[in-house]
Amino acid sequence: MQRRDFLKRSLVGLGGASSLWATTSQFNLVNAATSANSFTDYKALVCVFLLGGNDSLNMLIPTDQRAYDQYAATRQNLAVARNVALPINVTNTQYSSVGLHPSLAALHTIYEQGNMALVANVGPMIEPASKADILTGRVMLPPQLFSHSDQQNHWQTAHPQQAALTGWAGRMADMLSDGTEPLSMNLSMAGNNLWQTGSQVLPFALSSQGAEILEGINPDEEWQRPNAAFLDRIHANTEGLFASQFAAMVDRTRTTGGLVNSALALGPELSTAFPATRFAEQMRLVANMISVQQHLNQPRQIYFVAMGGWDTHDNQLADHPTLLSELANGMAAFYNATAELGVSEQVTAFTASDFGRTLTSNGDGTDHGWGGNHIVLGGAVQGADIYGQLPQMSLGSDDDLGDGRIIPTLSVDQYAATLAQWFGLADNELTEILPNLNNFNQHNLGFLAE
Amino acid sequence: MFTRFIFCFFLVALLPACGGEDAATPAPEPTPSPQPQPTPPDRAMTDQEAVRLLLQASFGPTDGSVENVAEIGAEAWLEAQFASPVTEHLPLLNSTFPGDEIYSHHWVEIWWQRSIYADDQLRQRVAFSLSQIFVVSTKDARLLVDPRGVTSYYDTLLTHSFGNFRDLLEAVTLHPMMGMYLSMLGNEKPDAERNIRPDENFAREVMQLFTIGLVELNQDGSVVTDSQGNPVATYDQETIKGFAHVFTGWHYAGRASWWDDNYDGQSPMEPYEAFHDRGEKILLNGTVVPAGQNARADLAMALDNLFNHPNVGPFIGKQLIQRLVTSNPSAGYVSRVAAAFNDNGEGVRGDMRAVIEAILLDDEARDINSTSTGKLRNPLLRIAHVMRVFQSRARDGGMGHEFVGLNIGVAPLDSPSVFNFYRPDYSAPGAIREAGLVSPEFQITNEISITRYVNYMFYMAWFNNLRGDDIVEDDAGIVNFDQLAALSDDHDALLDYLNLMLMDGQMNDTMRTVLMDALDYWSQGEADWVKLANVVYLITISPQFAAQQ
Repeated sequence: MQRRDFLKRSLVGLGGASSLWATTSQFNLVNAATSANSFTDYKALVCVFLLGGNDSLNMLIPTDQRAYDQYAATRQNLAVARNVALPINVTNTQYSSVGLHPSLAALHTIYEQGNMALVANVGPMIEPASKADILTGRVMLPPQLFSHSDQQNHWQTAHPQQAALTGWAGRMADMLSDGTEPLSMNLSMAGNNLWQTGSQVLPFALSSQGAEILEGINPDEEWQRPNAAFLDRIHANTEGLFASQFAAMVDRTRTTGGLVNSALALGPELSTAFPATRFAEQMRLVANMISVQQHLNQPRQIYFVAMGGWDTHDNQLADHPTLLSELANGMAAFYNATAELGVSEQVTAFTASDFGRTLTSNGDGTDHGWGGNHIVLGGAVQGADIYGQLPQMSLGSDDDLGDGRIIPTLSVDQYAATLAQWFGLADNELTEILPNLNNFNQHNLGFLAE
Repeated sequence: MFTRFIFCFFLVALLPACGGEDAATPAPEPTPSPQPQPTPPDRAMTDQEAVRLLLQASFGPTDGSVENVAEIGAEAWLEAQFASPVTEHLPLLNSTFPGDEIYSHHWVEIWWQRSIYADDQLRQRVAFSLSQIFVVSTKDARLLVDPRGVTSYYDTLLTHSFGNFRDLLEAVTLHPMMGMYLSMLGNEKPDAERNIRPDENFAREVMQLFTIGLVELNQDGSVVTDSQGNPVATYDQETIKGFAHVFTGWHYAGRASWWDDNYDGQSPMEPYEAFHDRGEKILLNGTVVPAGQNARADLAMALDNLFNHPNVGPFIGKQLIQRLVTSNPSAGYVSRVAAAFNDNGEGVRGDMRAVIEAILLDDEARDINSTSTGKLRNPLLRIAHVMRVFQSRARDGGMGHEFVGLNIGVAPLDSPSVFNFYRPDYSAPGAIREAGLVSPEFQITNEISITRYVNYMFYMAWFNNLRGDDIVEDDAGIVNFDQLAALSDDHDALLDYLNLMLMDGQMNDTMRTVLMDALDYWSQGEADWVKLANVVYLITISPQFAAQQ
């Protein structure tokens, strides 16, 4: 048996086929659709979810001597050397000087130019929580803190006290859509996800090739049309909840896939180079989709991109810098592509992740924590600064719930509200999609221009 | 390109027949439910009932297995399967790929060979279900480069599939693949000086995913709530720390010392006492592991502590039901299976045979008119089903499906994280969610995965043996349509056969009419394989095939 991947080759090859039949019929559909919203401008939000829990407390290194010594003593062998941290401009923090992890070098210039901000110590919460309140049980906490699945859900639902079935981007899209749009506002590079799931709006999955061509029932191929019609008849008589749901998803794939590919075929060739990583390939497709949004008649788009591998329980010294540089290179290329397209001020990308990790080590890695630092990127970002307070990098401090699991000082709700307000939601709409927002004083953290 | 060639051939061959033709779309007609056939006098069950069992308890029916099950019935078939010796994967991997040039797709190749052709089908299917609970993944670079270790892990699941859950739990815990994947391997006792505390990875996931879950359960799988109606957590961070301290001091077998560099990806991990924490640990329900014990004694107490928690029966039992039979078992069904876990009738807890029997012999599993929602089938199981029915093989003796993961995004032991490809409580938005039901396999069902799956079925149906030399690649998986060719002139008989083998008799009258039209349409002036490929393709991409009733 030789190494062989004919199926792979063939699928990739076929994915690039043009979709002329879909062009005529489906663009008519797009143009006929009237949007409930009155946006005259274009904006896109891009969530970069770092699956597994990024040790984001190590992305920012306090570099004034006293703080650095404390950081180094706490993080031991995981500490980044002071002299390799990339110095960055900061005004809003208690530390007089802070450095960026050297593996984030690709983002350093973008930060310094003001097109990237950092948001410190964000995590899922129900209401503000101090260590004393937590230890005496005076505060409502999200259930199952430190568990991957639960904290991912908390980030995505922003409603930790309930087994919420919708995410805040899904609820936002419900609000901004009228249900007649042929293509979902919520576009996912990572399949199904809670964040983009609304009551009406569901994420539409894309791969880094776009929407791929269905073989055998492709209406663009004349000989395949009879099979498409046979399948239509089978679907029309499908019974049972599970079979019907499957049929509905197949039909959605059939009707909308051609539309996406037809639009993508009209997009400009990007001259920005993207690295050959899975993450960067996803970001490139997002840039491609943004470049053809006018053909899709989508004045608002919400993207979900995921990158795995962040659960660094071991081998962290080798693995984490690799992950950070893949992240930084992909995000930097994406920013440059939006600048090339002239839409950098209309596109904001931000990171999310299960949790920050413990300041303490388990020998060669770290365990699940709570609060973490995050990146916001785009021309509308009031950048070159850190928003919120970096936690104290010492054990036993007021920020430390134990073993260096850091209590967040900003909630996901505040982070999300800032993004959502920029995206076009009014104050009263914010509290509709973020039911816990009113538990926090500051609704807009200020890292995005009005 | 190879596939372009096929397409050109196909187009040239068919265009005259297609020209001007249009498959009309008549209005849907009412469709009566399929009527169950009476059991023939010399049979224990009908063919349809046999196929139902084989869809739940094997990788799919074959002509021979349907005959066998219909003749002897479910109980006798289960007994025979329990007695069947384990068909391990590693010996075949080692004999087929003896050299150093071994990659992860070689493990997948062997997985197909065994899953499709091994005689101990029930064991193979149960082990596949267990591999989605006790998850390790070749997405982890260290596992990716050791296919023999990964295969050995799968053999561990096979070996213990019909044994006791306590032994299974220990074997999984000590396997070096799990040791690497959830970083118990090399986990050392605390070192306060250096702010080092034990790794919590395995400690957390062995509770959350492998044994008891996050919340207290009743025997029927329902959640225990407190006086305010909130779920009661099974453990907290302190419990995790207790277990994390227990799971210290283990490393690859056969090392002269902890810091030696001997690598053994197959033998159970061994304790290195100097790195084991000998302090006192508090586990579930306040169980105290006394100070001063060695690593093995601590481990035994900790695994006993997990094994004896009342959650294990409903927690594991329900997930096995979901993998084999239905996504939404009734509370009574879960309770009956959990009872079998708790006591096999001879006072033994954790007897996997009793659990499997309880799952597969339950009325909810056996009743052909069950009102259960059934489940969406994992796409790997749908592909395996086609391979079994049509005895698929490549001409070079391989299976031709070792890159299935690249194509459809799902492969054995290759999930994105320890949380498997889908969670047992995932509920697809829409009617399923509104009905308050769960549908785990829908978590990986989206526009991309559907496209990949439909295209995979297209190639599977087109790569059939009736095409002979048209298929030039010796390593392509080829389905055998001889049985279909024999029925080719009798479309009724052909659809009866496909209805039984691919659809367990669930083809309604409308679908039958459509497929009859399709057979007629694709008969016009074409070779037999054309209509057979098209009708198999239409069935295998149909929603009725994707779902299991």
